[in-house]
Amino acid sequence: MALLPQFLANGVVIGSSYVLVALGLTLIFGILKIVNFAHGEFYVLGGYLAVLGSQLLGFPPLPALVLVIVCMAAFGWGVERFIFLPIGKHDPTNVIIASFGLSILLQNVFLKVAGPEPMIAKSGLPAGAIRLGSVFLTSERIAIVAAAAVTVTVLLVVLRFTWVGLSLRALSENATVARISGINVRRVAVVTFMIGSSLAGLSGALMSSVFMVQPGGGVLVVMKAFIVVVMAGMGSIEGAIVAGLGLGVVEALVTGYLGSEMRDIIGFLIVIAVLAVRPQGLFGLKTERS
Amino acid sequence: MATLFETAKAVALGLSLTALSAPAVHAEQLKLGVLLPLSGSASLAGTSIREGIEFAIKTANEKGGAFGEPVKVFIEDDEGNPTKGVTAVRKLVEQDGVVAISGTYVSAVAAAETKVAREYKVPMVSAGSTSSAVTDANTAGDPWFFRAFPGSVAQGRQTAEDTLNRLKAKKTVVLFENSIYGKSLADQFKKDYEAAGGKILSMESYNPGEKDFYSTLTNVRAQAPDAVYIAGLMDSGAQIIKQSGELGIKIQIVGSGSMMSDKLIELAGPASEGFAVSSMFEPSTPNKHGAEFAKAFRAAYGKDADVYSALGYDSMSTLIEAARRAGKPDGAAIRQQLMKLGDFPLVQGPDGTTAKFDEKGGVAFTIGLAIVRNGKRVWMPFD
Amino acid sequence: MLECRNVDAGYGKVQILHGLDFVVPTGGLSAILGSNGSGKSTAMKTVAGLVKPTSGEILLDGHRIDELGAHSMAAEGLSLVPQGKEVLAGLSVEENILVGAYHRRKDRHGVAEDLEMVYQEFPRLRTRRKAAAGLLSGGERQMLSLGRALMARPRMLLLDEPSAALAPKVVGEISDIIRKLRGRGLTMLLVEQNVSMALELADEIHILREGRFAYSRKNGPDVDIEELREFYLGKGRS
Repeated sequence: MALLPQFLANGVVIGSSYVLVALGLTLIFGILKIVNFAHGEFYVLGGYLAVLGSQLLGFPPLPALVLVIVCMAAFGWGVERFIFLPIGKHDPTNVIIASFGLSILLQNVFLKVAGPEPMIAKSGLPAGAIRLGSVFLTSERIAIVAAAAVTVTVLLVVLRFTWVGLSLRALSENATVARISGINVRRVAVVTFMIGSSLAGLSGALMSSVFMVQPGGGVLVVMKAFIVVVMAGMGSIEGAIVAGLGLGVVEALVTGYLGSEMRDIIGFLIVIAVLAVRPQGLFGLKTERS
Repeated sequence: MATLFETAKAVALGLSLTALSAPAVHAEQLKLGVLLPLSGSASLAGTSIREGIEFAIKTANEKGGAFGEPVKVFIEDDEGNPTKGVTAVRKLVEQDGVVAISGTYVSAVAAAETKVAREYKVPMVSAGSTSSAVTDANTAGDPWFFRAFPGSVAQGRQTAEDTLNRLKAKKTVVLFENSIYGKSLADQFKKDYEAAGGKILSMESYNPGEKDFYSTLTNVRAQAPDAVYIAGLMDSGAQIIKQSGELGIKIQIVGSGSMMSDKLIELAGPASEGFAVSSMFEPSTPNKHGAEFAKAFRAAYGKDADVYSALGYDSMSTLIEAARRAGKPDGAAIRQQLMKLGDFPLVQGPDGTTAKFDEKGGVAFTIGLAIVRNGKRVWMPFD
Repeated sequence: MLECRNVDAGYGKVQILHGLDFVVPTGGLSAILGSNGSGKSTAMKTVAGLVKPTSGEILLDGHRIDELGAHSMAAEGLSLVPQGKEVLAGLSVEENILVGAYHRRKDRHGVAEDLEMVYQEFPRLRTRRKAAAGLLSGGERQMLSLGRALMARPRMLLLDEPSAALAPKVVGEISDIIRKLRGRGLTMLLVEQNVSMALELADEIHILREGRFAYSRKNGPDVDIEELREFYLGKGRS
């Protein structure tokens, strides 16, 4: 039991990173009904942009994050405009295939441009361990939790209390009603994709100072994000927060008490169990739609 | 059935003979294959090894190649994936017509690839795969898979002895990658460490590519070992070392041969101070042949050779030398010559190390131990 | 005034509407009757901008609207109350009403005023304003849809089968509301299967069959209900 606080702290840190990645994925799915398998590569791209900003350009932490968010928003706009929109016009399911292709394309671009060597971003935060009672953390890890908390709060406030948020949520509920209410679906789609892409990049940037950035690093990340999103109920923001933190803590406890080889098995077992009991996910609405 | 197969083989042979005899000059060109993980999680090692391999080809071709023609090489990316690897072998042999292969790095993939290559009578020389299981699968005296450096059995034993005797660690926790490579090293380490009087407190595996070790390391700290032995690849190794530092764990960390890389020191940062790693090659090697290689490599690439480029160089050099001695581009003949390379010097290992393959296809030499001091690996002298 | 001039429309290669031509005068209420598959839903969607006409023109007060797209209609003064009581199920009742004012969101004062007006019109929505819209009854959803449409301050309302799947008592309430809105000068186009409701409310009746008007005439005491039913059921001559 003496180790429990450290395990819980580990779980909250990892869980926060899951929340950040899953938010963008669930937003894009919930509103645009696009399953974006390239989301993990968006995350990796954010990591590389953070390396670029912090290492090569020598930016301090906040401007480096702003660089990541701006670049990722522009990238998201381009992907939506030039890949997903034209492909989805003929058959929406083609978008899934296109996102797979984009994922592989990006991995190889990373490999060509950045090379296979792992990179690490400079956080600019004080180095070394921070001890809180029996719990050891670093400032970078605390920053992840803080950034997740801030991002989640901002996102929830925007979604709940602004017209932009209302238009996003309206579109996620019913595209026809949203359109006849005067919401420009095209514009909302673009905004959503830009926000989702920025969120993926932001989480990748934050994680790039704790873990390393590698061309193939998005594969496992997107798997975890999908677990969280499915468990939460596709499209549910609140669900993604609970499921992301929950998965992080469960994984940390499993790794701590049972060993890390059990960790991913348990994760998937939980998903299967949740879906068996609640097919709509933890926070999915159980309303029939015509 | 057998006769049918024989007939088919004869026809195929006849076809390939006609194909070969048509352009008489090119028939004598030596075509070799290279299999490496150039993308995926093991690509970091794969690309470094490729540099060593390419340097060996360049050196050989500057000296006239083989059979009066430059050696032609076909490189395939197996992505560290056995299925891709097997497909790549078939492509190399059937489409490109290679007669021998240098590869690969990931042990599980090497095991799958050599099974197929053997059917074509194409010998392989490891480009970094360490697990002894791959050479142990050879029939004694009739090997088709060669490794020009010691396997996991020797490395595990050496590291166990070094950990106990040189680093004076009596209690050790083992963390190993859940792969043939990690497991074979970890098992061997445990066996020899315990036999020599050390105590293994626990063995824990992690998945390849794992990045977060906080929970695992929290347990390690609670067990208060003298040392932690990591049997795995460089990226996870760097994370374990970095995160140990963050968690305030001050325990001797020992790593397997894959972690012998400057990149690890860069990624792990100051926490890598005191990290010990099995090492078969350093640019400062006392091996005279190795030192020449290190110098020439530095001149050609503008950076220091490391264990990856060294083993890539040895892998390709032994293949080309065996082919020269065989006098013809023929897999079986090259294999015969590989078994008689006892006089051919290697760049890895102590001075005077040669490619003296044993009956299972392995080479034995003393493995060194390097320790990071002031951000640089310092090589402990060979015994 | 809404004018449809010789409108063809459909989905992909399938043409549903053939040369639809009619006018709803300002302050008037026209009804389009038709059975399932007659094309009346498509007619409604085409006017609302959800389906683009392949030929012909649609004008609102003399201004072309057929090329604008559905999201611009609210700003043009045209609001659709869709079929099937479609609401934003996961959003609250109040959010459902507010979303109707999206195109004039900068007018904070006016939006607040109109919200109050909708609540006065439909007191039941006020009591359930925090509830998820998906939990409302069919009649409540219909009122919610009307409330949302009114938030756009429309000059013209499109009502797509407002009586479908509602109890007779509720249909009566909805009819009362429609009459009241007419009294305020709103122009309306009503699409219905409910013949008696259409006869009760409309100035002009059209019957749609296979994408063409089979019957069009002014409503009045001289309309022969039996003849109308025959057309409606497809037995009459076209």
